[in-house]
Amino acid sequence: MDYVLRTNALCKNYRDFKALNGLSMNVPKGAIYGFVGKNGAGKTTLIRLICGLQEPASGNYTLYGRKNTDKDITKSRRRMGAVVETPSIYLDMTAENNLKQQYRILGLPSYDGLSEILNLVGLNHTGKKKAKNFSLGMRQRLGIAIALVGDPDFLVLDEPANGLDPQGIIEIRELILKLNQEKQITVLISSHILDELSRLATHYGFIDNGCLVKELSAKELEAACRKCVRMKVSDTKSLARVLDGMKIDYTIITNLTADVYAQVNVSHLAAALAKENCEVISMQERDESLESYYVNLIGGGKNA
Amino acid sequence: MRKLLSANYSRLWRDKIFWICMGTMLIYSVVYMLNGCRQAAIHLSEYNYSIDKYYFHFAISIGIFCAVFSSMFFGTEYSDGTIRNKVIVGHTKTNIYIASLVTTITATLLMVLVWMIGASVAIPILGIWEMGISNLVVYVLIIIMLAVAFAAICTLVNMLSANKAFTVAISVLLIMGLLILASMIYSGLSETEMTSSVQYTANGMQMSEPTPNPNYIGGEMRKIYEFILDFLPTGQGLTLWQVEAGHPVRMILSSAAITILTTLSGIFVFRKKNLK
Repeated sequence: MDYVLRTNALCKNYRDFKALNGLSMNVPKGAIYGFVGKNGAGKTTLIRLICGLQEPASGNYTLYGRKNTDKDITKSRRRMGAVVETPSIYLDMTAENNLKQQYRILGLPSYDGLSEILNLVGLNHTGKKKAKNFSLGMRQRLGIAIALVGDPDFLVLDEPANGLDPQGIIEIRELILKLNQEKQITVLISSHILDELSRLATHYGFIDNGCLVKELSAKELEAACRKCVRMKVSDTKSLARVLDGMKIDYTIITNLTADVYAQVNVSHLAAALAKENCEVISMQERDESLESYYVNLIGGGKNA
Repeated sequence: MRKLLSANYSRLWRDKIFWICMGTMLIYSVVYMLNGCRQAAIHLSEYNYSIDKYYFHFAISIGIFCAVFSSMFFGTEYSDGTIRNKVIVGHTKTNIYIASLVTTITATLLMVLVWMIGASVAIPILGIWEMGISNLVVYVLIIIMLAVAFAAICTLVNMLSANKAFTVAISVLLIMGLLILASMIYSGLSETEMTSSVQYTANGMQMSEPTPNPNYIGGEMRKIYEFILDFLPTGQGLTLWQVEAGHPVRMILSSAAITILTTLSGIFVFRKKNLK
């Protein structure tokens, strides 16, 4: 698998506070990577490091195969765009002039594609209105538009839905999906709005106290969160034989427990198991969402 | 670097503070010189100065203009967060620092140029410079270098402070502080070695016997004071205003040294700075 970004045991300290503590993560090419963690977990610190705004205390990362210590890392950075925390825009300029400024910073010979970017983010009708008079959602979209100048392959968005109204959140979501699906842009999004992230992400990384606790794809997460009945029986081999006979999906967890992915008729199943001399000890319905998965992973009680 | 300069200059030409500073400098120069012309029209010898006495007045104030402009201009990069856009797309922090320095130098030299053009309004009345072309060239060279030194000092403050309001305050206060320090040193050096008081006697006013002035700075200390005055850009400004530049080479080398030292230390710290 091709990776756009790989980090290896990244550490970053702010005086005595360890913001990142040996973080290792992998962002596959073409993914929408949801970077999940509570406030202060280290999401923004990681983004600052990979954007070159700050240097890691130890560890390293590769961006498009180039190590952060390579001189040529600037060439890899040229392929990325980012919105870190708040949108980086000149408030006393119009949307168009903000984009033109970014074209100059990149040294692009002409303003080709400028109106296309404005169209894409829905800011083509703002005219001479200055960015300071924009709504929060418009500023966020302008920040993304600036990040899109120069056709980046990798977009880093730090809490893009923060402070937006429901309509604004929908607009940003649709924009990100469009960029990923139509322009094949790899996106790394940090967020703690789990419901929103679950509608977008193809991969997830869960961060806590500066460490990556778990990294998995959306399919793996879906499987982990799939609606099921967790059964505790005296013999899972017998249970497997019965479920195979009934053509029901299941996963054996231990010698005594298994997850059954169907609404089973309890009486029929219990009767079938009795014929196999297998006792049903307990049955529990499980329906995990990303939120409950996250709480179980990070430890909701501890962090509540 | 070329890309960063292009972006900075594009912002500069549309920056309100820059044009306000340029306009103020122009009005200031014209009004100041016309006032000099008015004084020259009074046929009293003590007011009858040449253009030399007025032309370099701006040398003491250029630092303040540089501080106000540059702190507002580059403070915006931090307050709006746009400095991040430059780093994210791969520009090195060293290049960002140098591009900021070059932009500040350009703006400051343009303000110097505006003064010089505006101040020329007095030439028809006060005539041309009595100091001669060679001295004029030396004075202009000193001014260019002190403007560069001011720009380097202001760039150091602007690039290392992330808070716009703090940057503006600290830049202006720093230049004001250097100006006060230079004034105190200049004032100390202006003390005469001997003083004599006026006495009223039955025979009328009489000058007393000259006595040593306790405030006079002499010996090695005087050399140190003179060096500091020549070293500080504000001191150079005061000296130029009084048309008393005695050590032009030392002044030019001092400005060059300030520029190099502040830039090297600024780049060193800025490269390690955690940008947010």
